[in-house]
Amino acid sequence: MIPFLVRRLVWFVITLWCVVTVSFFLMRNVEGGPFDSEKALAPEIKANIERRYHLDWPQWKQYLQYVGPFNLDERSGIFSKDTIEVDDLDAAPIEVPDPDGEPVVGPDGEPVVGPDGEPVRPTKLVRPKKTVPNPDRYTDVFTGVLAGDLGPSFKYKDYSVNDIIAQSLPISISLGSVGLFWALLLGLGAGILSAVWRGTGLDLSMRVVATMGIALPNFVIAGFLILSLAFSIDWLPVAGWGAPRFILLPSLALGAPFAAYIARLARTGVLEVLSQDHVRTARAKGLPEKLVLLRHVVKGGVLPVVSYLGPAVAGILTGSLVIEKLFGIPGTGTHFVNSALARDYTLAMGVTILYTVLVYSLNTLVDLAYTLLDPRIKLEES
Amino acid sequence: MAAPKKTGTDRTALDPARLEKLLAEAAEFKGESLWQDAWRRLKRNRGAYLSLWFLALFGLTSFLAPLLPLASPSALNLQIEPQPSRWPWAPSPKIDRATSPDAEAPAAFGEVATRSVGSLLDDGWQHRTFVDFTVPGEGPDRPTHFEGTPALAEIVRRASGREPLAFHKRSDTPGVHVERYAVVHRFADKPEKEGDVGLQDAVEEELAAARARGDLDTGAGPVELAGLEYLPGLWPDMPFFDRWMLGVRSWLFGFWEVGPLLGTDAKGRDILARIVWGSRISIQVSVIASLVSLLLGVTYGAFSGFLGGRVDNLMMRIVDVLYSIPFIFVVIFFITVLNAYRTDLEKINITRMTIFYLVIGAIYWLTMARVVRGQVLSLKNQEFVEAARVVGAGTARIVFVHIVPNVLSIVIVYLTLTIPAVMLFEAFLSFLGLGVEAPRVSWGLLAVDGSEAYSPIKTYWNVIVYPAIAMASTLLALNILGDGLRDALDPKMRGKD
Repeated sequence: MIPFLVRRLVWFVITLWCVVTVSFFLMRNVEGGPFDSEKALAPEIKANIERRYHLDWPQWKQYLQYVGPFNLDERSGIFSKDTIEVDDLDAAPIEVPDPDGEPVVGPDGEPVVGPDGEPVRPTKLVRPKKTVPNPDRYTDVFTGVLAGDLGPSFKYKDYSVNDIIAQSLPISISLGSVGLFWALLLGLGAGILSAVWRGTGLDLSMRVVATMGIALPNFVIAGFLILSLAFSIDWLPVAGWGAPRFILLPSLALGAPFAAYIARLARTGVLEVLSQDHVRTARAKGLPEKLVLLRHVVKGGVLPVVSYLGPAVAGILTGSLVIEKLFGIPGTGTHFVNSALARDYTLAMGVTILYTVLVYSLNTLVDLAYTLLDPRIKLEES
Repeated sequence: MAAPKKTGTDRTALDPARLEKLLAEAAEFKGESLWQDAWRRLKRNRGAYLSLWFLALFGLTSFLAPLLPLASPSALNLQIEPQPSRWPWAPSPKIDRATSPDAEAPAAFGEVATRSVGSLLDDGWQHRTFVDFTVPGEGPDRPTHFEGTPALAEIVRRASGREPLAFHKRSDTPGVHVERYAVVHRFADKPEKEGDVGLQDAVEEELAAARARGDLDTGAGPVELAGLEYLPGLWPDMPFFDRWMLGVRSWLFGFWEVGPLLGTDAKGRDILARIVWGSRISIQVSVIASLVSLLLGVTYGAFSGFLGGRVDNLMMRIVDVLYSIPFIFVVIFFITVLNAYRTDLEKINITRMTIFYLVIGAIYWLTMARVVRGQVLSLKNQEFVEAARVVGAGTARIVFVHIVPNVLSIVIVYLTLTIPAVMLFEAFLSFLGLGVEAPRVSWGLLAVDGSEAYSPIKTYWNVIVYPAIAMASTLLALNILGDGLRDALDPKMRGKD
């Protein structure tokens, strides 16, 4: 088991590196950034913003900064100096020539030429600089993805991507886990029932419903649920978030396609086990049918469902993009779609990285669970 | 295969009569190829066979959509309430004159009447030219339909050979207004953007003739030709064959079209037309993207399996890495990033749809590659591959000529299961606003419209239910057909029934 986990970890690092690198360079090289607006920014403001997000650095340095784990910032990072230059507010302002100013024009319309032969330029007042100890030195040494810091959001000022995820992920996780619960409950129930009563009208109708569930996109299913439930039951809200009752409809819509697929898998699995020798033996030795089903059939028949859980979890995570948008739920999915459209690249990248990590680790967990349930399967082969 | 029964006699010494009999027996025994066998099996599977016919019929309908007398899928009609389903022979609803803008049309000269115009004419599917006349008298505030001044309508009719549509329009000059006559070009015509020069000459000629006859002497003032304006249709890039089919349609049915059999949506667009026209894009996207995934996946998987060893290991690890990336996120990311380069890409003929095909195809090839590799691994040590190698065939030839045809059956099965998945994905992307854009229509957009049609005050059932039925039945048929094909082509099942 340990070598398996180590191998998984190595591939996990490679995968994550691919995702981070590709999306980083795509994002930095695309035309038009998050700060573009209809009104052109003053160059000073633009320079300030770029400095704030380190966009004035060369790309390789920005990449290193993003990946981490060390902060490369001159002020607070690992290479920060012990002193900094700041404006001396106590000293009197001094006059210095303004290199950007237009040459001074004399009364005759000609530029005034100084004694050195150069045109005279206007002067401006600046504060003299003074050197002070750097108060921020080493205050923020570890940043970047490796340090678990996904950077500041470009669009939500004063929020880091971590803040936004911390706010929205619990919502998405509760929605997803209730959705998964529905998928398992309805899917396993329908699948096992229709296998046990195969050939009956119940079986047929359940199979038709299951195939419909697989064939329809989840927002259409969500629509039917709203139509049939939310409009007829008063206390079921159509959209929103905040109380337990808000989770019912979206999670049902989210889990429905997966319930349908699980029902199909469970039905096939249970049917296969039902025809096996050990079940015949169990019946032959006189076990009541209920015990045969519970103890011998269901356990084996449900195995294919377990291996489907990995893709199902990934699907539920991505499916929640649509469901969250449709039901107006402030989860991570909503943030992802909005940020991708608004070019809030750090947020979009952060959510992509988060979901990669989630999907990968859940898949690994499912593989582990599979071997625990079915001793015939060896991890090394997978 | 029935082997000849051994008898006690020497087998090499066959008497001619026995040989004849054997040969006759052999001639009677017909071999069956994999495909014949699969077809027989498929026919026996009633659900799959029905699905096949359903899909064939459906594909034909969708291909021939321009030939059918449907309303336009993109024509907006905001003047009337969304309509329920209506039979073609039922009368069209009357526009309430009290609230319609048409009611404000003042009587200039000639008879003024409201008329409801078929969406075919109204929508801008087609290229058309407006012929404007300045006419004495104050006009209405906004353009309104009317019957047209008989003399002017006659001029345009004679000049263009078509029945024009008349509008009142305001003019900047006080004391006069503009009467605009719209000449709708036939579907197959594609006049140049600058306008129909021949039409302008003809109109001027007819105008002069009418003046000479005194048709325009109303006593109110002179009638002048204000100009011609050409308006290209909404789908100027419609492929030639589609335009040709539209032409055939207008020859067959004229401007007649079936009413909103399935009702109209909130913007007055015909739902049946939207379903049929939308199916074209959905089918196009899913088939092309599936083929892209097929090409990538089969090539990759076949080479990986055939080369084996370390190369195979590396190639499959790469697939594993790609597998664990949540692709929907990456796709959304890619599409938004590529949208920034849209104008540049369109210059080199890469449209949003092309990006769509490539990106979706690039996701779905992974499973295909795995499946094909597994098959190839079991095939590559068989005698026919060795024989090909002995003859001197190279790797590429062995892979594409000898191995790929043998994995085709499983590839086809997988293809029929990929197509519905891609359709769902298209719907998903359209829902997020990253897919097909109006005025084009796809099933994804229809599903989006449906999901916006709920309201506790009044829910427009037909907007939600009919597209859902079309989508569900197609995807259902594809799924059933895919399962049926898998049963039919699975070699393990051969000879079991």
